[in-house]
Amino acid sequence: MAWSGAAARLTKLAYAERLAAAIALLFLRQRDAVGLVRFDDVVRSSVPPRVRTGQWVRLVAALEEPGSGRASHAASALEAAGRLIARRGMVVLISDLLMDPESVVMTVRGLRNAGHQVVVMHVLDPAELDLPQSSEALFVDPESGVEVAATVADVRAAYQATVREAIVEWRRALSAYGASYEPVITDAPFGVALRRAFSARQEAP
Amino acid sequence: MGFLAPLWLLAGAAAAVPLLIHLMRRRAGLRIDFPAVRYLVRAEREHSRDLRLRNLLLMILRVAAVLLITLAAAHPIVRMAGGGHARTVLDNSLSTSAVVGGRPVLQQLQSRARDILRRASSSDRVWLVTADGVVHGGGRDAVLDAAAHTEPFGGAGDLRAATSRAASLARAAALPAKEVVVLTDGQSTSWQNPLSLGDVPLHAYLPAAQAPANHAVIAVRAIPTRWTPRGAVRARFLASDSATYRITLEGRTLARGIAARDEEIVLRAEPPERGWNAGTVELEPDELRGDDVRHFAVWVGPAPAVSLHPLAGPFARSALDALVQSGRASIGNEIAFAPADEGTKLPALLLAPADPVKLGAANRALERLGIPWRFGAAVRGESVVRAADSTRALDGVTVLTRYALSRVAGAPGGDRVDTLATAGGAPWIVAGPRYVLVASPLAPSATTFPLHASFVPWLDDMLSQHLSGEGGAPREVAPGEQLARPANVDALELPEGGEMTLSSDAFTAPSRAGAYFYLRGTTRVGALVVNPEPAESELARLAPPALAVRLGTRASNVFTDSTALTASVLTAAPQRPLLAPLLLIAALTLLAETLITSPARKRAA
Repeated sequence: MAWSGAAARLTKLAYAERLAAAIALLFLRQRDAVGLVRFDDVVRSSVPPRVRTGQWVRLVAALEEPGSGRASHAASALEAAGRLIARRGMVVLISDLLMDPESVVMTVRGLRNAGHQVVVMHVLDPAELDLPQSSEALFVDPESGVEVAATVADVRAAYQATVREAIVEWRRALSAYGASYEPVITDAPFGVALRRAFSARQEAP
Repeated sequence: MGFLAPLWLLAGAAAAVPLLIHLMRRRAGLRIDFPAVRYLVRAEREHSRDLRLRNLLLMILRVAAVLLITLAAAHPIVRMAGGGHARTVLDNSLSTSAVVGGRPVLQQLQSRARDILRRASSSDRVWLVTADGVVHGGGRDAVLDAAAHTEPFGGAGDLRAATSRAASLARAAALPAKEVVVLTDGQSTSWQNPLSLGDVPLHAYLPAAQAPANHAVIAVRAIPTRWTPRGAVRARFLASDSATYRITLEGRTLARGIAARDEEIVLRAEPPERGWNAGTVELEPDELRGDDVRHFAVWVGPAPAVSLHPLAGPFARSALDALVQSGRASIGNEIAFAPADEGTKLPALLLAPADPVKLGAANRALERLGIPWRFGAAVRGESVVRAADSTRALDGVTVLTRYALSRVAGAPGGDRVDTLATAGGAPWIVAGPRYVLVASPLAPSATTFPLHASFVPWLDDMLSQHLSGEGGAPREVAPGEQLARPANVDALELPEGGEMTLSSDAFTAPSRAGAYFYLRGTTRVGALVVNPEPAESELARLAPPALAVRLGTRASNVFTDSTALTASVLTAAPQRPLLAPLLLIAALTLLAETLITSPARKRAA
């Protein structure tokens, strides 16, 4: 997540942290209890949902904790979030979703069965939608270390088609269990993502 | 195809660049952190086939573009199809059958001809003209076949005429590029005089090797032409040293001997053979076999028996006496020699009557004998006699009084007559089957002929050639010479057996040397001896500059190197530069490459 396709742009992690903080602040002002589960390959920190004053400060402090892992396990974070919510509520997953969808979808299915509203915000860097400007290069996944040599001009079209297919697959899989899915591009204003999150909130009980 | 700037072709190595890029693309050293590698892996896995095809196509297009551009930079030019017009003159004269370096010169020339003809495209127009004047056309393959099967000619032919003919035909052709190629052994006797071909470009080839030493039989003559039955054979040789010879008659050896250099030999003989016989004078074989044998023909038999009428005149008597004394004639009843009005039988040598009163009787006698000529009005006044066969035998003979001779239309035998001599342009001595007719009496008041030195030999010839049935002097000609068909002849007996029917008034002498016999029915009535021209035995060759002068071309157009010759021929055809088409194709190639890659570039932008 701590990666940006352009130096002038927020990393996906920074964008996600700001987005999470903004959502939390707005929900808190509506007198909703808001909690936080921060995860990478493990759950790094969790803040139980509260409405009281100072909850947003605690949430921001949790977000400011350093470090990002070598992988993402959203399923365990979702399970942790489900355990933190005593009543039916709303779970917002903010992730780049660079993981296998099966476990995530199964966990979302569990949350939905428990009566929770689930909103998945898929954070994407614009460079991930396209490909970085380059000729021939060795592309390295900084989390997993997987390397792929490619000529950008040659594979760009196929790559773009694949990303579009992946987004469609996520949307289809999550929608099947009543979860909302929204791709969020890191060069887009927060307002867009917030509006989508709130529209989902309006549908929540 | 040729190139004006061939060094640019070296730049074609640049085609390896896209190839290397294609092969080394997966070894790029630039590392980019990219979290979404899983999508890249998936994209390559799911689209690998399309990607491979696309990459291969791009690689091909880029290599092609580089090659086309470097090719265009070399300024290629190509000869326009169908613009070439080449006439190849192949010297197949006897001298080209000389063996040099283990094979006949003609084979070398044939190889050069095939090299040149193979350069022609199927739409070029090519011909082959040989020294004997034969023209082969009908397309490249047909001409190639003709070149491969050209045989040595028995004589010199006429190379200058063949070359001039080729040039004139080329000049008349409508094609823009035309040239004449002469393939010759450069024999100096074939190119004695300069040739003018106008503006038709001419290339020539002659072998670099020196002509071989040669010995030859350059002259053979049977003396006299009719052996009764004694006679002699006279021969001359061309040799740098003494030469061993053999003389044969009908395959039987008459004599062997050694002739000194330039010696003339005379062999006297009284052979038992009778009638027309073929003979040879032979030398030991050398590099040019065709002139080591020279043929002759001779009639052997008894002297013709002549019955002389008293009214033929004293000059006829004196001439006949001379022939009888030399054994060339005898007194008898075989041939009548008389004024026409006294003629009662054939064969006969008939004279115009001395008395004009007897003209009517003479014409009745001619009619009775079946001779298709009649005496007309007397023509007085001096006129010059010309022999019809262009010999000088009758030079200086004049006629003072003669009778106009007119042919009787439709008379039997009228189609087989010879005019042997004219006076004032009108027939004066005519001959036909078994008769000779003179339009003046043999008297000094009518003609100077009986007083002329040629009279006795002429009488001998008439008695032996025209009136003795089978006798006569053989005609010696060169191969391929145009001849008039003698009267009373139906066919030509060939040396190897068989016969050639002579149906037209003119015919071409055989191309092979030998003794041929004229046939009337199945009887030999004369001989035609075909031998190569003596000059053809002189094999000395011209140097290339000298040959260039004789051909009226530049010295640089005369080659002794076959490769240079082949490269120079059929290059004068219109040429078209390929720069623009190649650049256009390169541009289209690059456009295709752009179209293939543009969607990705647009998205990248």
